[in-house]
Amino acid sequence: MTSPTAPDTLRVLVVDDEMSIRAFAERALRGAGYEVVVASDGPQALRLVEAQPRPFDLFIVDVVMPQMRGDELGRKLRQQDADVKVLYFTGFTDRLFESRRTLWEHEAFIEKPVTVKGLLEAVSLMMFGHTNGPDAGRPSEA
Amino acid sequence: MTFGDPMNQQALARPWWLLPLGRLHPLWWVGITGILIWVDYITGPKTQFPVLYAIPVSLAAWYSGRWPAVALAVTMPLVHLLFLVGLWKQPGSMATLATTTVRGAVVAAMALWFARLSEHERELHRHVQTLEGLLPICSFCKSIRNESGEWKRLETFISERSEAQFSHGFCPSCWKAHYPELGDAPPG
Repeated sequence: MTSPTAPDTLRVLVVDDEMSIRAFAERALRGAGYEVVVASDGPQALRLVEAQPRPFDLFIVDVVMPQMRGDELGRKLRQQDADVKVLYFTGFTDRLFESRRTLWEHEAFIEKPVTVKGLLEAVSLMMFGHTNGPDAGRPSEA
Repeated sequence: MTFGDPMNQQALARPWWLLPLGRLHPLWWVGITGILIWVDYITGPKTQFPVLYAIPVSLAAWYSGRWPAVALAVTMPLVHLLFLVGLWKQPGSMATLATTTVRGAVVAAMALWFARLSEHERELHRHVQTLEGLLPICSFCKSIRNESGEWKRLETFISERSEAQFSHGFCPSCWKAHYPELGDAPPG
């Protein structure tokens, strides 16, 4: 599931119960230079988070999934790390706002379906604050 | 789940022997109980009139819910008992009391059962109504216009009116059309 990458490569965990969506996100993000790990549900994602020596830089999470909803997973991830970045990738954006009126800081959503460019721009915006991707350089470490 | 399929609508047509759905105000049963008590009185103690209690109680359960029906099921045997002992001067005994109690209990149980059947029937009817008929759908995006005139995504519309849930993915032909740069569609 994980490709061999340089230690400073940004790591993304994609969580979706649909295999075609996981494959889409995985291939699109790998092609753009991200390291990608996939999980098919919330509990598996939490196990992966615990088992990984390096924290993930971004989570791309479906909302309507069996066992655990994506926003519930987002809440659990935030309990472990308050600065976690979560991009909800869903066909039901209205469900995201059933129990709250706004997203938290470092959260965003995109609606299915999206183009490869659309996904990469959304990820880039969350990671770097611009849509040009990792090749355009990272923000200053200071 | 079929929308606007004439064969399906025919299959779901209400059979003639099912009571038509509707509601009656509980006060109707007060009037009907009065008439029944009067008929019970004029027919006298020799007839087996109480067996007919089942009919108005069932109808009350079907059209007005459980509590008017249970009230009817309890009132009529009690009034019959009062007629027996008070007006017709029949000797009151434990057997008479037991018969009245059992009669009332059985008719009340039947009332509860009928009321539950009626609720279930109405619930099913609501489901069938919302997922049947001609639905206005956008030719491009497949959104459906609901009763309030709002356009809803197809999957949202169906999820709100049934137990079905949707999980978004990509079919192989859409994958091929939209993501040619990502290679072949994943299996499954």
